[in-house]
Amino acid sequence: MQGQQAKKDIEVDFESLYKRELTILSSYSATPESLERGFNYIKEEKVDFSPLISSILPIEKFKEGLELALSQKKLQNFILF
Amino acid sequence: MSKMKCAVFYGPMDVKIEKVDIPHPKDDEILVRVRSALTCGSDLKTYRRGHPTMIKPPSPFGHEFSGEVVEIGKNIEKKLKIGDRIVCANTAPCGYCYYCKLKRESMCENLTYLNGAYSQYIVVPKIIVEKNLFIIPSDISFEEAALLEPLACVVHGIEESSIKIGDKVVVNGAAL
Repeated sequence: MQGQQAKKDIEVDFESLYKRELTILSSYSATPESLERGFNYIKEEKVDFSPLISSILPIEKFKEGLELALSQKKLQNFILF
Repeated sequence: MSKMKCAVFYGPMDVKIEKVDIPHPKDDEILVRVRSALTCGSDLKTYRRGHPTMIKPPSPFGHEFSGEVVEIGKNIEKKLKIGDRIVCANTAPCGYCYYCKLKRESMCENLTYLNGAYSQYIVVPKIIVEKNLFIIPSDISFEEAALLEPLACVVHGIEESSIKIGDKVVVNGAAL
């Protein structure tokens, strides 16, 4: 679940939730602590970001980047300066 | 006065690249030359339909970026120097509201927002500089560093969920 769908109502079978001891949990955005930990992962090169980098575009084409991401053809686009 | 290119958000599906004055930082701000900015899912939502809290049009657009420090206001306490390569979050929590006191800062009631990543220069306020700004080591690229905020959201989610190595999980949604 993420922001775009978050306004939608979802039916939940509370009996299953209860009998199977399920938990519904959400997390939102980041905190200074998670930013610091995330930065350490970047510094230690623990994350391979290359699959996430779909396009690198100049600022003049940033709208194209948004459209590409909107069409879901590209995942994460970079605007370089 | 020198000019820069800046993407300005006027409303849903209405963003224009404009030549605007390069901003001058006040005493409680720094000026950063943007080197890499990302198209985040929130930018896409904003572009398509606006955003209730993050951006009030007309406004410079974009919020995930990395860059170089160009000017430093005199009230900035963080150890920074001109030319430092930095990445920062687009928000900072107030530190004194109910949620901040509980250390649940992502739900801060007085969050400071920063927009304008799709610009050649951006002014960053002191509260973000002091709380959520990091100096990028020389061996890390601007592109990698700019991914800090989305990564931190993932880190936060993982820590809230208490998942651990070996667990089976489903990831629904990929920031699109």
